[in-house]
Amino acid sequence: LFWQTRSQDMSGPVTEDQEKLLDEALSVVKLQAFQMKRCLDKAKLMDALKHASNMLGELRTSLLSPKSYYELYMLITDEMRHLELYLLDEFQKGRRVQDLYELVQYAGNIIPRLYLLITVGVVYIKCSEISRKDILKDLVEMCRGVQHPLRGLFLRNYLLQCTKNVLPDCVEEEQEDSGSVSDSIDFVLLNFSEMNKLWVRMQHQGHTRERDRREQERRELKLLVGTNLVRLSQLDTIDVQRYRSVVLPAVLEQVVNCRDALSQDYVMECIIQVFPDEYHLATLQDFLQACAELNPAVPVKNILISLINRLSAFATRDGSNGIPSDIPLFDFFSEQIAKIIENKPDLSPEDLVSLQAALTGLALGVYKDREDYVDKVLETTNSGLDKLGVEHINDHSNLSRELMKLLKLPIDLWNDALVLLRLRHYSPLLQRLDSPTKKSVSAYLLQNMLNNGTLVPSSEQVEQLLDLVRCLVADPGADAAAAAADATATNSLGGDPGDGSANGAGPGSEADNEDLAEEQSLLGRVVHLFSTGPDLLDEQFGVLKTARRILATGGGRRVKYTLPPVVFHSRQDSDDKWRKKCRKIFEFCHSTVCGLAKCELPNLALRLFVDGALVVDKIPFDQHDTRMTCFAAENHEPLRSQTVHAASKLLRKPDQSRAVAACAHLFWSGRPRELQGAEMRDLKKVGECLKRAGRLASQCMDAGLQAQLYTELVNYYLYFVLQSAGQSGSSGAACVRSVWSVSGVV
Amino acid sequence: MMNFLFGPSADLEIHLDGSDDRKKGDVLLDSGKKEACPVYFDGEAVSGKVNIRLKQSKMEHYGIKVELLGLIEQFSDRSSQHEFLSMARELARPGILTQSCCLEFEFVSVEKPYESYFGVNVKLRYFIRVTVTKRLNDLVKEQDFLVHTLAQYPDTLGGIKMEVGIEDCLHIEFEYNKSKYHLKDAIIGKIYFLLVRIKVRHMEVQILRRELVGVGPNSMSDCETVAKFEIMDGAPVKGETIPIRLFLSGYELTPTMRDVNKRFSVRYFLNLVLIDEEDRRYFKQQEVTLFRRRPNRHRRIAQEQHQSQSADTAQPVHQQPDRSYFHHRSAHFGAKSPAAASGRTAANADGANTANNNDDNEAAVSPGNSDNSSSQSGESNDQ
Repeated sequence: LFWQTRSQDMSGPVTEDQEKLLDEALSVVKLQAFQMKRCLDKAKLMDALKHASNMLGELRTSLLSPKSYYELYMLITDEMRHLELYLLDEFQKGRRVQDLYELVQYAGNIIPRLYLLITVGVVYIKCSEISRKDILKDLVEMCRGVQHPLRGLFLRNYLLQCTKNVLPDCVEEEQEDSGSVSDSIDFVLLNFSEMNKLWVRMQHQGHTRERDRREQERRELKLLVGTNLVRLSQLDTIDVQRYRSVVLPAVLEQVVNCRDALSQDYVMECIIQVFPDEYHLATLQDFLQACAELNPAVPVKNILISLINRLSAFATRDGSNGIPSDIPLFDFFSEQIAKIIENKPDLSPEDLVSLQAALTGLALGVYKDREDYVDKVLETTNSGLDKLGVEHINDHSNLSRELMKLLKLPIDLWNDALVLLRLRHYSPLLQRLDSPTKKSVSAYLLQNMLNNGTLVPSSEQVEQLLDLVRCLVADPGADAAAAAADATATNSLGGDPGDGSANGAGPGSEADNEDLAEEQSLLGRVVHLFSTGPDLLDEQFGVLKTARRILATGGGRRVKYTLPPVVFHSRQDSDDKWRKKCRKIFEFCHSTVCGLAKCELPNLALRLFVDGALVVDKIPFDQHDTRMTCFAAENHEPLRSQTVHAASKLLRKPDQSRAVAACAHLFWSGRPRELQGAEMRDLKKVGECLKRAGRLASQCMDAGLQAQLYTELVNYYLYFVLQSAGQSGSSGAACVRSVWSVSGVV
Repeated sequence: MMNFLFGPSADLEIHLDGSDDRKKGDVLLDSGKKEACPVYFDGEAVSGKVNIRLKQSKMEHYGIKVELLGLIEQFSDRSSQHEFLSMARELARPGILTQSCCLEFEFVSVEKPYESYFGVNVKLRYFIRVTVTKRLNDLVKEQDFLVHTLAQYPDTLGGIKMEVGIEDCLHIEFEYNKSKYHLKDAIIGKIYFLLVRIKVRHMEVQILRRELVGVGPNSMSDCETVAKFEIMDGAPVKGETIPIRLFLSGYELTPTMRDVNKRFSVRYFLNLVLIDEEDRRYFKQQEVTLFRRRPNRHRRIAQEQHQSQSADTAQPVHQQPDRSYFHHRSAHFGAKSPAAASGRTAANADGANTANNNDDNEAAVSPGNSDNSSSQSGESNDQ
């Protein structure tokens, strides 16, 4: 399976040659295998061995690429199984072939000889464990004779495969010379170190021009080396103690001493993956020590990250006892990482960040309540980036991606933005990011808050939070304006004309606007989380005031989205019975809405006022007079006429007619401030409205609908006539006249 | 011609006692065929029967005798057969045989000093010859048998350890566990690479048999590669140790024979050969003594005898590794088998020395005479 990853990089003619060579070899193997099996059927063991030897002789070739050699090897080892089964069968029947172990060693060529020796040796072991220890030792020693990397690797792999189920796995010898687990360890370790040496040596053969190809070929062979470690991990009697005192030191020594980057990278990773987490915990110091001694070309960070991730996962897994408290896991790693950063001046910023991200993951996974750990990591990251002279983090760069990952980690794992606010180094790190990424992290944070319903109970925290996500709150250019606005915050909202122009100056694309809308509505939704809880209404009010102050710096485009929630939110509070404050609150709402009105958002402001009025209606509040008085005459008048205008612009005639008729009420019961709360009862205007409505109704094509409209109109007229009955008679009479005229038409 | 005219008057058949039970070995006949013959040891009696089957009603003869002969034949000179052993018994006085008969014979405790040997230029054979002397043509029948010489050496004898090399190019240390091996023995050893600057392709141990016939200017020598045993595949690096384990019983070997009857000797060498990627060969030869170990029943007695006397004489010998040099052929060998070519020439050049210092281990010599001198000067320089 492990060849499948291979790309088609073998150049054309070579591939062709390879195929031809391989085909030739395979056909020889098939023929010899056939003859071998025939001899076995006739119980001619010596002849069978001869054919087996011929077949194995094909493995002596130097012409095949690793891929083809592997294919050949697979076929041959498959056929060798027949021989093994035959021998096992014979031995079990008691027909032990004398001196077979010696006999196969007469073969003149070393490759067939050793393959045969392994096969026979394993049969001996399987039939009687008495001399198991010696045979294993002999086999692994004799394999030294093959120093050719490719052939040696495969030979030793064969050894490993064949001995798979026969390695002694007991603490004490059960029989004399049957061997114990320490013999197995010696066996595999020796095989491992020899294989690793061969594997490393591959790199140094042939022309330097083909370096890349060789590296590729070596990568394909790495599993052969790793199998040794897998075999060790399968020995049940290797306990932590033995692992720490025997296995790991030997493996690490071999790895460190070979000084080969590819090998070190792979083997370290392999160690992490194949041995249990408890073992890693017990040997952390040694492992990390070895990491520091690796070839500078080794991406140590990958190794560390992989280890950290495994341990974090282990600590949080169900059923595990967690990390023993006597192991200062975090300190180990942070020291080690500091050392690596120190020793590697050429470490890239993204590597640095991803290392720190892993460390953060560890801190979060294992020590969930240790905010200081995370803060410490963030601090080191920050200062590390400073040291590397990273000023601008380009969007879409790896560094940006890594940093984003790092920043999202605590959000995800804590699910509590308030803890984030306590970290002193989170914000500085966040602000390093380029705008789009920064926004995306901020939005992520807000979304997380929404998902978890994280309430923000104090105005300091609101301030901090909004500061943290300030990229969403305001344009970066508006910082100065925001500062200015802060100074005068309580009185006037920051909706200075400059914001309006910012709105106009940054027309932005449609997509931009959409993004903006999305971000801002998110922010708006978060405003609802600014809540102190039911009993702390003063504070709540303070919180909202703070929110408004800061949000107001956002300029027109944003305010549109962010302030309405403030208003709504504050209204919700007013449902409670704290009358004293009600006035204040409405004043607050009022000024907020006015701010909106000033920002050329009259429609919105209107809606809010109307909504506010509804709220006031519903609560038992004795100071109704405040409502709607807010419209000054100069506002009121155009507003009314605008409404009528808008009403007559509706699409369908009947709608137009109805809307315009409804507008008549505006001129009747409106209470501009100048009239000191009295209704304006502008009968003339009312009449105009109704007339216009009548005209519109007359243009209606559907007779039935028209009649309906007229009927409604008559209703309106009647209402106004009755209302105005007490007023001047003339106008009343005019009204009556019009009613009649209308009904005449009807 | 006579046979044609008259035909043999009788068939002779020699039957050696116990030949069915005895171990058998191959005797190489003049015809080139191999025949399985019983094996005898020094001092053993050789006895048997001679069956005479008459083809006519009677046969007149001038006496029947049986001889036990040990013969050394040089193939180059058929005439010069040398009998180093000759014993005769008279089986019948002259008379007339009227019926087929069976005559028994026995040679008691025959001293058989040498091992049977069938070499390239010489052969040493033992046989029984029955002769029925007649007036015109004698009836003769021969029956070969083999002689194995046995020897015993204490196992504690030191092995061979030596460091060899070519300056700045290749330095190895090699070790064979013994210097004397019995024929069913295994050569155990190892090669330690101290310095490798050449690209070794593989390394093998060869067993060379060097046969030297005659003395002085007329001597003939032959070297034959009896075994080629690959012990390493691929290029080692510095510090690598390669094991050697070579079972001798897989090959047709004889004991080492020195100065057999002053006529020939057969000696064995272990030749360690390294072949590099450009087919250059580097080799180093070491003489080893091969012997035939006493079979178990003999050995037990011998060991007891030996132990009584050798308690203090047989001390392990720890040899300091000798320093010496590889002999290095840069030439390519073309179509000729390289091993055979190097072997034969080397032996010829070596011939003169051999008589003087038989026990010298320093047996490898570079191929040409001119090379020989230069390599020797090189040695002395370094020493």
